[in-house]
Amino acid sequence: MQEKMDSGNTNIQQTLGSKVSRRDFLKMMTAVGAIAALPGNGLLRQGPGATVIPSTGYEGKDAYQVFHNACPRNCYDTCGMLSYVKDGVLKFVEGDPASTFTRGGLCVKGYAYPRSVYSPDRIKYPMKQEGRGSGNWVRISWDEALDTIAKKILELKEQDGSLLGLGMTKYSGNFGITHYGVEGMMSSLGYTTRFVGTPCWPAGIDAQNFDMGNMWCNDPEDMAQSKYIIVWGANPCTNSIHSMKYIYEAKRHGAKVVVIDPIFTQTAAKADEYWQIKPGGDGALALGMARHLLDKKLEDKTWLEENAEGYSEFASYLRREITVEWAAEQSGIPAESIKQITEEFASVKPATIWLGYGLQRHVNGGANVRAIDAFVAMTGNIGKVGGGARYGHLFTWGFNYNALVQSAPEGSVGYTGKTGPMGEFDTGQGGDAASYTDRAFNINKIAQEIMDATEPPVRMLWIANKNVLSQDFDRNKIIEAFKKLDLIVAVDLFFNPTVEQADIVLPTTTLFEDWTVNVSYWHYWMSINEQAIAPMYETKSDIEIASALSSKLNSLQAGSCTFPENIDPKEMMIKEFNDGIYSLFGIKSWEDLKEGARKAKLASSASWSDNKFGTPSGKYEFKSATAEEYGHTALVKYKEPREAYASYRLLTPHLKYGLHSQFQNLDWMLDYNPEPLVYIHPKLAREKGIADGDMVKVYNKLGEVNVKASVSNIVPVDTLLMYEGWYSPNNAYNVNILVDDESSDMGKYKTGAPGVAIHDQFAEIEKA
Amino acid sequence: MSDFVQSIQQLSAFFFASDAKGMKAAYADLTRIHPAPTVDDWSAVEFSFNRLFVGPRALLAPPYASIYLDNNSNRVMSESTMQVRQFYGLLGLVSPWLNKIPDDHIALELDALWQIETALNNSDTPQLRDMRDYLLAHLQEWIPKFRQRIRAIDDVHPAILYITDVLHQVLFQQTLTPALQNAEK
Repeated sequence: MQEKMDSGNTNIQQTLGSKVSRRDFLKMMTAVGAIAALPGNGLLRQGPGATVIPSTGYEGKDAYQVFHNACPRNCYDTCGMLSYVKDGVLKFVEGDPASTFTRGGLCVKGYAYPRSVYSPDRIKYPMKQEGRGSGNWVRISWDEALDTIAKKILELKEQDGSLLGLGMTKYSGNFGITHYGVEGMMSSLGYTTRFVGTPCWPAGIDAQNFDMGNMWCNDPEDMAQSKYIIVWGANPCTNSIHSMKYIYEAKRHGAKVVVIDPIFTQTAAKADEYWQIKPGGDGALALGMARHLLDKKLEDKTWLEENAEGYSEFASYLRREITVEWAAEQSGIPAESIKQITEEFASVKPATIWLGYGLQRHVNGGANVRAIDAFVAMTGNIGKVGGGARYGHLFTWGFNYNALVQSAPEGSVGYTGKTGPMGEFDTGQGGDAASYTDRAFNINKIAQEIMDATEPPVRMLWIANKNVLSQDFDRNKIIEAFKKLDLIVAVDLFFNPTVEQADIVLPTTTLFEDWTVNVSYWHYWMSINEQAIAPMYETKSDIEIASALSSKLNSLQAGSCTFPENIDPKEMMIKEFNDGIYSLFGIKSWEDLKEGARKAKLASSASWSDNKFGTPSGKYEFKSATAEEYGHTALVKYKEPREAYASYRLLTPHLKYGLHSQFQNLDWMLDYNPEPLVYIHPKLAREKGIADGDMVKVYNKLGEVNVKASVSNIVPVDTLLMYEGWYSPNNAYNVNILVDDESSDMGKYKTGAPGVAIHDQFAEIEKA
Repeated sequence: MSDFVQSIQQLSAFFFASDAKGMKAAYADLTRIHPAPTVDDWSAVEFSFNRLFVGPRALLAPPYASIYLDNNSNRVMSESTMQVRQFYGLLGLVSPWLNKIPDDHIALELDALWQIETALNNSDTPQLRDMRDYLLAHLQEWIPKFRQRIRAIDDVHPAILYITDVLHQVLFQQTLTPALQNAEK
């Protein structure tokens, strides 16, 4: 034994002396080659010549395989990315320099992507919870998971004679086009219950459709040419960082920038002028501005005569019912300021307003958007490069939706009532002449819809690309409603409050482990998303899950599912392209995207540049028969805000270190955003005896939340600010305990369901 | 096989287990060497095991070396993981779950140690002993931190506390070549 110990003093030790690092030690070692192929628990002997010695440091960009990817989150910027891979491991990411919109840059969340892919907290395996909410989870195989799910589906069909007892809710967790395969999976099973609409932007979508016949914004890159910019209810400094450079460029050329927002945002801090508006007072303000245009004869008469319908009636309405002083009272903006900015805006062309999604999350949100559109139209800035009432667009989304379009198995029975569009991305391609349809429920009232559903009740819920318990409204009511469900299946990347309530969780791939293609609802770029690394653990993409479920179902009952049983994710992506997309983007093949992101070939950076509107009259409609048909006033008119139901307004906007509930759980984000806060004004804090850092109780008719106070003058005195999306398994905080499911005015026309009045919420606050 | 080598094999098997049955089998083999508490409810062990090491909830004690070695980074597949992969490569070994499960998962590292020990039994070479000591030094650096993290958590099942104690004990019964005793990562 002693002899053996002595011979252990090898060359390595003698060479390196006493102070060595293990890395040096590793470098000094020579390969001993394959040790015996032992029947161990894991490691295998490598094949001949296969001894791969991976590097561990940065070796210059040439040492990496580079892939094109796209950030698929629900974000204006939808950045093209480059991912750098070595030895099959994602090392770092950059913005795609081919895009002039991103110019090679990403946001802090985007740069953190490797920490998402390689977070130890990813969901790794299919798992089953023994008792919903118990936290008692066991690993199960994919086969067992799919078997349980498939048998439940067949049982529902047997029991109800249809699959309307199976509900599906999905939204914006991943906007890659192939992810519409989740909807496709549902169609391939038969007629099911779909939660349709969007919590995000529907009131504004309908409003712009009533006014102009579509939601279609200018290219954001042409804001650089604007001479006057009003950013109204948007905060691009944190939520569309690449747009800011166009605003700065406009400023350098002498443009004035005005920000209108109830919160003094980072964007407001960069503006020439900031208006702290009363939430929901946007429509009144815009109408007051419009009235002042009339008073000063500043409207663009030529444009209006040629391109507008119903303008004289609108002008009469303004003269009859609107004054600047009234608008000042409703909006909290002094009449003199309203007059001055109105005159300034009308004195230059092009001038533009960016309408953020925040301003339409009100019971009068759609009416407010129509009023702002009307103001921009009166100044003759619609259809102008650098002008426009910018809200969003779906101009570049004309894919095949091959994964989405699946037919119901023969003999399927469904709903016989009337349904509308199944969300804002519904292109109508899924429709067929069948007499049955899916049953459409309002996505924003998931709790109430489940509670009220009969014939049949919803018994099983499939949740994908959505964190219902963090993002949907009236969290406590959702918990109650879920008690009616026999089986909840959640497909996700990370454990969150929704997975906590699931019976089965299925692990899904990150964007780097899958193929898809992405476009934006703001800019006009398209990026391919190549698979850069193998899927970690046992993760599968949405369409791979659909395919595996199809195999399982058909093995249990032949013909019960039409989804293709063998799919290649890359082939599925290729099938999304068509000649329309190729011609719009000026490419010959999807493979051209491997060279970098491509931008749509636009006749003009301005939408509606030919003044041919999509409305029934073909003109800009100040008076819309379609609006009337959907229960609104035909004419653009003031609509009352929601009445307060508690002492203080509660605003729950987007956060900087997350996108809804994504990213915020990553270590880099938690470094800056370790805990939720409620921001309150110093005056209110004094009244309530609350000091900065105190724990407080924020409560209303729905429930209560305990949270730390941050005393700050970024908020109005009567307003509480809590950012949405924050969750942690160690903290029960959830803003949607305090947000009810009251509908906004519009959204039914184009998205299938009205939006939700997220910013018309009220609460009390007390020291905890 | 020595008790040490057998213990390492069973510890590896325990951390590889995907269900209560696998945990129970590895535990039973270990208890023949190290006196252990009896377990009535293996489901409870499985729930606790998954909370700590598997998921789906954010892991309470991720079983990967990089978490403890790379500046308290909550990330797998990082630089130290690649060093472990390089080390396996020098031995002529490779993970069957390459780029699927991090190479520095505790079960794989213990498996490597077991394979080296078994190979040493057949042919004792200085290089192989350097390899063994390298791996032991690596484990001796992160396992105490891993164990510390587990011990700081409430309600960890006693069977798992026992496993981590045995792991710590068997690793530190071994002596390293002096060059590695003071080595930094």
